[in-house]
Amino acid sequence: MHVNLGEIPVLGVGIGLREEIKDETILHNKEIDVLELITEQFTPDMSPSRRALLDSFHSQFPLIPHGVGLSIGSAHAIPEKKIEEIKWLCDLLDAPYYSEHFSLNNDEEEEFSIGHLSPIWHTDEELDIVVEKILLLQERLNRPIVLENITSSFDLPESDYTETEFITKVCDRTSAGLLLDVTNVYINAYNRKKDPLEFLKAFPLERVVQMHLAGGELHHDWFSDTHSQELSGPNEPVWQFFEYAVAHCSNLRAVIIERDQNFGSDFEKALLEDVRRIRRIWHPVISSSAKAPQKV
Amino acid sequence: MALAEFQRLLLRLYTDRSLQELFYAGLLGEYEDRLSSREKNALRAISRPLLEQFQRSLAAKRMGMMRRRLKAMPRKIICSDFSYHGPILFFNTNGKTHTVPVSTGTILLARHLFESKNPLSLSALLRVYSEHGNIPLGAVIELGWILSRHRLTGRYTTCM
Repeated sequence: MHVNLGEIPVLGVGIGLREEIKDETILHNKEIDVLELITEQFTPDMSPSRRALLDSFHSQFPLIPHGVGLSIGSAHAIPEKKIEEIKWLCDLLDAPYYSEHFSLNNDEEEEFSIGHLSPIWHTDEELDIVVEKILLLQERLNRPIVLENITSSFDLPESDYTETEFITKVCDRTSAGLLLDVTNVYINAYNRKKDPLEFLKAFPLERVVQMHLAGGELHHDWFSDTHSQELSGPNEPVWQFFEYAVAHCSNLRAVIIERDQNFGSDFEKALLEDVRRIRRIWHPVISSSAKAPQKV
Repeated sequence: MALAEFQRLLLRLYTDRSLQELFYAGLLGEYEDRLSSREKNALRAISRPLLEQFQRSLAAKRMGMMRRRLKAMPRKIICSDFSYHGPILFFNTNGKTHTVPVSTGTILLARHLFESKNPLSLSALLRVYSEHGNIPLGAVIELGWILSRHRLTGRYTTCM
């Protein structure tokens, strides 16, 4: 499949679709351009009430499906059922691209799953596996694949490539896009005592289609990617790296704030203030390239 | 060792504390002979504090998910009255075994997690249950479920 990231429309600034804040999300739909939903929560056999929720949001927002369970680094092939489910959702939503993670979640045939993301071993063998899967997915889904960098406590030793070298090679060989989680870049740099800006610069920024921002928690000098806080306090430094990234990512099409818990009762404080701040930073950049999303 | 097998070992190392203990004691047994020198070096070079940090982070994430899901359940589903032939949690403290009755709903969920080989979720469920029930932290938990009279049909052990 021919992939041209430049053909993806600008989607704007948004948040993750979460059951806990569905009413507030609809109430503030004028300030939210786009929603990202978790693919695994919307399968073809979902309940009628879940389908109604999906249809309701789909009628009001562009929706981006974001997978968490593909385990693209696993040695085994992607189960056919999973590909069909992803395709069904992408087609239903007319998704401009499909996003997932650079991660290992389960082993062969999903015999053993940790249910979360863990780092891929950055070897030549893994590179071939990831590239082959992305090419297959792009062909089957008939849309670009965009993969996200994850947080992890460590990189697996004895690798052939660093994380950023590995990601760059994957993008080069598949034309895939990058979902740059700026918070994950900052957290990994912080916990590993690296320079966040140098780490950020090593990613293939020209391949960035979407960004994630999220508020983590700092305890005993260790940052955890909890998706539970506003982007202030200990999370404030993330903004400077976001500003740098926005200025250097010419193919950026969407920015999503991920918030999974600790919503509190103040939706404005929990999410909208950060949505507006993203818009203030990004708007001048997209306006200058005449690609501003409709709600900006 | 084939990559698939190496990945299975890695994922177990991230989530199985007893395997970690064996690993750091150099007692990987059956695995040891099948690991290539590169695989051995990679595993040995993973810092133990960072691996433990990662394990805590995975457990914390799963605890958060389990809390959010159980929050939506009525308390009586999580903590029900004892039924004579119903499911029981066994826990050991100071060498003494105690039993705590649990609801059928709890045990069905636990059994599903056990059978789907999802140890993180199962441990998280038991930890959340212990917050509602009277199981002290640090207790060794044995979970049994009885589907037919006097017959223990499943068993799972973890540490709170």
